[in-house]
Amino acid sequence: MNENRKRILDMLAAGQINPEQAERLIAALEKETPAPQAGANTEPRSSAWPKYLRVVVEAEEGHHANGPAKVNVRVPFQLLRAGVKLASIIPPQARMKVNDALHEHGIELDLNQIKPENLEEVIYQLKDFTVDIDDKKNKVRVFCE
Amino acid sequence: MIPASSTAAFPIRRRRRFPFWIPILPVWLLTLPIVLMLAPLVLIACLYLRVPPFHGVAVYWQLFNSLRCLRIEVNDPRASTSIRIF
Repeated sequence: MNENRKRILDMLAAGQINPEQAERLIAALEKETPAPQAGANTEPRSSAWPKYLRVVVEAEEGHHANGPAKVNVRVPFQLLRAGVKLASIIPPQARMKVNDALHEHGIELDLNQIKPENLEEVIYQLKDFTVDIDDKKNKVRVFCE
Repeated sequence: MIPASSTAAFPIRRRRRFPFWIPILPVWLLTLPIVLMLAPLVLIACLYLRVPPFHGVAVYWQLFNSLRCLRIEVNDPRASTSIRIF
């Protein structure tokens, strides 16, 4: 069985996603993964789910005599998953305070609405996500791999 | 699997970067007795905050595990910093 399909079924069995979401994810998976040809090399497509969020910045602006400044960040998506799960164990009183503080700063984000199953779908859709900013002196690239 | 090692590099005397390797696994082993001693306090805190204790521990365990492969590198002529966790 395909690794990703098994993962979706595990999530369904664990109650992390509902049958409708599982169906949508499997449909997206089938759309992404064409049926293997007979006799063809059937390497598993583990690359369907991105593993890392990458941010690469090259900045030549400013006062640097020894070359451009570079920033290279690689954040595992597992860390985001763990962070969301961490948010789920925040006591409700504290969550309300966080929501109020975010609201005061103009960020309309409700921590109660952030759930691991929602994040899985977002991560899956991020596989083709790329932000490429390239002006004369600076380059910023945000992508998933 | 929890992170076993990491490398870090910080600038010394502005330009030169001093890289060093930090084995994290021995740190986990050294902190294990402290964690075990603090376990009852964590349990009480979880019960007070109405958080399922095992779920809470599992979440923190997953958080530590997910630090593997984290990489942050800043290469600036004035101050270069690099942190990698394996």
